[in-house]
Amino acid sequence: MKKTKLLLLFLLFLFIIPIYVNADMALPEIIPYKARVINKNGTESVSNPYEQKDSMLIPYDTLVEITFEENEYGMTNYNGKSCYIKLSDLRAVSEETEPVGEKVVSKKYYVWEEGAYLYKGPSKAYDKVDGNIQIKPGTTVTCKYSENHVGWGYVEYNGVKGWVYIYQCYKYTPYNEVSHLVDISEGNTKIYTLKDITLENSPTKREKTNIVVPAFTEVQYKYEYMYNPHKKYICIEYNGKEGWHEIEEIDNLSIAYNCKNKNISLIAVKDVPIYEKFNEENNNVIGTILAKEECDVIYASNYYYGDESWCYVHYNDISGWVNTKGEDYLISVRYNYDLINDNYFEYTTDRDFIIYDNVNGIETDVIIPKDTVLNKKYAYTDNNSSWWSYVFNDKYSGWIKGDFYKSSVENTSNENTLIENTNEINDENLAEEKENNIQRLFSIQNTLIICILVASIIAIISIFLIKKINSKENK
Amino acid sequence: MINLLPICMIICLTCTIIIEIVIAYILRMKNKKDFVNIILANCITNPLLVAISTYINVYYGLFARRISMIILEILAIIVEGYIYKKNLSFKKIKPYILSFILNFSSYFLGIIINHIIY
Repeated sequence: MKKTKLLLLFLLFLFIIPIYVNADMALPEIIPYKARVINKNGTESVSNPYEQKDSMLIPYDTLVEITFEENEYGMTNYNGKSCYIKLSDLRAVSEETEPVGEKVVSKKYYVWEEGAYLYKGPSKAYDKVDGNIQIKPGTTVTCKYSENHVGWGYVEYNGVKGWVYIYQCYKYTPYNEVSHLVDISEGNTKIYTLKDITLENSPTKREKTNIVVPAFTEVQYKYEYMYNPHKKYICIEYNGKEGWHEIEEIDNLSIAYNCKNKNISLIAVKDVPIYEKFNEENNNVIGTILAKEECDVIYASNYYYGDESWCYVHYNDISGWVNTKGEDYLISVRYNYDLINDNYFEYTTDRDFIIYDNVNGIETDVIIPKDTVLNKKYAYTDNNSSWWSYVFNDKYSGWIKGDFYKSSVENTSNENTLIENTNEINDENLAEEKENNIQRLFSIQNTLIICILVASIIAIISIFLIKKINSKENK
Repeated sequence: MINLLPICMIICLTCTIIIEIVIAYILRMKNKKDFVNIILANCITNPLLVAISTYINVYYGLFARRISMIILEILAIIVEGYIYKKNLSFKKIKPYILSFILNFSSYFLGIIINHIIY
């Protein structure tokens, strides 16, 4: 009995050790993955994938567990120390992996430059698929990948399935580490050039072409590539030719974004001049948007569609530019419109609010009671940093002051979705993708349900056998 | 990978049974009927545990799976403990404690086996 107690205590102690796999759970996990060092001379690990210092030699054939990847290095824990190892010195232990039960997202990508290789797993530590298949430049592929696999997408190309490296958006990623795929799922929008633009052959090589897009021209913007959080390149089509252009800072703008499909509008807090030309406040004033009036935004110079930018508007048959950075700050509606559900976001008041006729304007007699559901159309911060919101529903409309609301619905759209969603995806391809996704999910679901059913049947049979064996014994 | 689930379930069950039989033998269990009861008890709990935890992993993610594993293991201990209480002739160790010992042995040794293999 003493031995049993000791054994019991020992097992309890073991229970507090963090564990990731056990005999009852056989399916290996995809992340993190295990790999062996294949470099016969061992591999020099570093403490930082961008600085070659604090190196430590890890011998050949060492088994490591990679928990994170960055800049062609995999992060692991060796001898109690966290370090990075070159993926080229590693080979993943599992032969291949495919997404299992992760969120399936269909996004289209365009392959450019040297093309992209297919790998057997979501890492360059995996082997390339048999035949070293490389997706040719100019090909469009559909990626179905998990949110867990940042930078890797699972695609099918010419009947072969595998993983491709999409991109990692890190500040220090050097040119030769970038991906070859460009997200075009939400592309195919139009832009308006604000000055002459000379296109480049690629976002990485940056060689000037002879394609010059004149100022004030509307062109098709086909793909975009985010080199790092501070740089973005777009692929423009002009006169049947394609070229790349880096989007510059707001003070040196070269393009404006088309807002037609995004239901962007402005409201004037004061009388606002409309200028004939972009970014030139001293040029000809061709009209005025009166205070409290709204108008549609056609182009916005800022990536955030109207916030602190120059906007090209249509107002009472006048088309021209207004400056939202100026004193007469105009408010973009972009953040308040849910493009996915095609409606303004709803909020519920947490107290009573007085309606004003304008920002810092006159109080009206109308009070919006607590727990009223409202749509928010505009937002404004005045010179005193007070927050104002233009709200409406079937019964009320007007400005209210202060942070007031708890959201009634989850904001399912994010900034990038709003910017990129232009609803110009091919309907047939989308239907086909949806069908493939449904079929795949159905087969996963089928397998799981069948396994649970079989396990249940085995359990029932076992229960009967136990009863039979033990009843015989009792007899 | 999901197509390997049935094979994985068989491997899991086999490994679990072997480990628990060995531990039971170490604990001086001798009656053959008791060993049969242990095998059948594991046939009741183990396949269901693996299948359900895989289902949770697929649809709810890794964290949910880990939480569910703890709950499912506790349920397995209770169920097997009940079976041992009703059917085992081995009385040296209380049935629920025996169930606890056997399940955690298979759990812990499973970690070691997985680390060795992978």
